Amino acid sequence: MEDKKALAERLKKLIIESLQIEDIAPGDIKDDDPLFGNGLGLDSIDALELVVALEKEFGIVIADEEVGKKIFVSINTLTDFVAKERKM
Amino acid sequence: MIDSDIGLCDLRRGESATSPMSRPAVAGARYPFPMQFTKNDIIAVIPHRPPILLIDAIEEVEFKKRGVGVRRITADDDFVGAYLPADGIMPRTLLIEALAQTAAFVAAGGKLMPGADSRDYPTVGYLVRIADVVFSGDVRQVDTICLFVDLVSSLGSIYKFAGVVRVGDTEICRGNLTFSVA
Repeated sequence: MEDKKALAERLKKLIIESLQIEDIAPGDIKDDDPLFGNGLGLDSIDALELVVALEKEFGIVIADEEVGKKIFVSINTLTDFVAKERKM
Repeated sequence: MIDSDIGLCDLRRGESATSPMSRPAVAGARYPFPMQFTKNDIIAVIPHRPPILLIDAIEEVEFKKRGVGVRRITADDDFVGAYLPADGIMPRTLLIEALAQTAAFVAAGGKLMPGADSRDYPTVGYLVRIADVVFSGDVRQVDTICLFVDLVSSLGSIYKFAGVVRVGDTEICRGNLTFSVA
């Protein structure tokens, strides 16, 4: 199983690719930067796209909006959640 | 709830927007839980009215998951003659609208069921994203369009559906539609 740092980099790539974000490289996203609002600037539509991407990539199903709010805070929170819940 | 607009689509077991028509299917087999709804039912659920109401019936539905809408294109549909008259085709963008209306019924139509709590279902939805749309054909007068939609995922008030439009066995259009509902 990949370590936390490698998983975080993989998640950054997944975010950029699944949301088709231009002009941002994985290295531009800090692990504790907010993903929404004033951070990376994602919105609720992006959150759903991430839910779809996480299910496809890791077999994780996120159906509860409150869970989404907790794990999509930053790369750190997302990485911890994926490391714990991943099915593949 | 059944009328002459129902029974026009080729419904095969498991057939949906995310399972291509080319997939092996059991001829004549029906979806395990078919529920059919007429135009009056549709009008009771979604706010669209003629001439922009683009579905005649729902051939089968599993609420908040998947469904199949149907629309017969006739001489009464002004858009056929008013859009590229020489070709006599339906505007392709209206196919997206028809898929969106079918998805809206799938999301909200459960409120029609006995004992349903309408608070569990959205009252209005707005298209917020259309993605990965591919048109591979056109719809002409007297065609019957079958509108297959599957919920891809939802989170809070955001719903994403995959949709496919077919005329008979021919795929006309496919794409992903995302809604914000209230």
